[in-house]
Amino acid sequence: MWEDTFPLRGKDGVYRWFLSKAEPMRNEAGRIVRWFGTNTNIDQQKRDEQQRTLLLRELDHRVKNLFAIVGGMITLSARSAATPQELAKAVQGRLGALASSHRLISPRESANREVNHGTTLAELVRSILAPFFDPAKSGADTRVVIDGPQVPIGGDAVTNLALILHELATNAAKYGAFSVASGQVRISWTVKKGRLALVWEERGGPKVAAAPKSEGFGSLLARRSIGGRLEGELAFDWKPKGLIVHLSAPTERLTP
Amino acid sequence: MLNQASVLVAEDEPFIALDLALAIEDAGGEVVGPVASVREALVLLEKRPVMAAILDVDLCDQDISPVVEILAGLGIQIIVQTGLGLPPDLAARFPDLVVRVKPSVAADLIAQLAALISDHQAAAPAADGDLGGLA
Repeated sequence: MWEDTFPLRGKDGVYRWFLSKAEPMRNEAGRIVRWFGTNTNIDQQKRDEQQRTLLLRELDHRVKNLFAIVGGMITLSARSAATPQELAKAVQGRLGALASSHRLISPRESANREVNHGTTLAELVRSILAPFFDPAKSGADTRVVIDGPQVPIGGDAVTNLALILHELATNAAKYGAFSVASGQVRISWTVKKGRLALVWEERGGPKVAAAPKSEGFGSLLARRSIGGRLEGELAFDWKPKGLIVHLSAPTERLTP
Repeated sequence: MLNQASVLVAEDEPFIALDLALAIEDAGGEVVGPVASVREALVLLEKRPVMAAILDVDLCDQDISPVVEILAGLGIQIIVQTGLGLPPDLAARFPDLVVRVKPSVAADLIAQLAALISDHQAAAPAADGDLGGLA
């Protein structure tokens, strides 16, 4: 049996991959008198294969990158942790934020079989602030108020925004509105002229005396997360009633 | 260890970028950046000479090649970090480029960079002070 794969040019001038198989037919003397064979169009399989190789490469890249990110996360978190317990808590929290963003953007098929890679800003905010949502409370009692139009987000922007929201929430839980039962955070946003403007507003927490003397690690990280890929800005306003954070970024950077 | 050497950091992952930046400061170096894009890197290099660089291959706008071209042309010490390996044309054009596969520990990376800088200075003692100004 002879077998090979090669591209063949069709009438339309386009090359497609074929699998060719042929079996020799012999006479009594053992001489080949004819070949019996098939040509099978395997173009789709070939393309699927290439697609798979690409995906595996991409996956490999992402896994390596994730190891690098976690490595950085651990050494960085160790810088501001006083005890091993504090370090573990900080790393778990940050890993949790990464995992949430991954869950939101991992490909899934929707009802109409379209693969969905994205999420919305509201969904992300809810997911990162889930520990502070109390389903039993509503209206004025709720600790988290979310208000804004639907903004699609996807790809790396989700991870970056997740980290920023996580750092803000962690800060609020340590020193701000989430550190007391009566505290509330309002997260609202608008989109104007292709730019997202988000406001994180804490109230009901301990009175803020002044801006911290040195920039905390969380805000440093938040600032890096907005500045790079998102080409956005982050401003902290330490009002006596509570911290107000202004975040803005071009909407075109929020989707891949 | 870095003796106030200015080190460009190009890395678009916030955790890795910050980790590197703080490790460079710990080692007595000066951080230029970190930048997340080639565009930002080029803007910064116009303003500030650097003595060394730690570069990620895939930045958020394109691959690092234009930055490597400039820095390598000036004889600046570079360590390239990558998850995937170098783009083939970059590897072909700069066969001597020091490449580290992610993940690496920031402190190890910086120790290696410090060694590269001091080897380079020993080999070229005439180039004192301004190593790699762009002006």
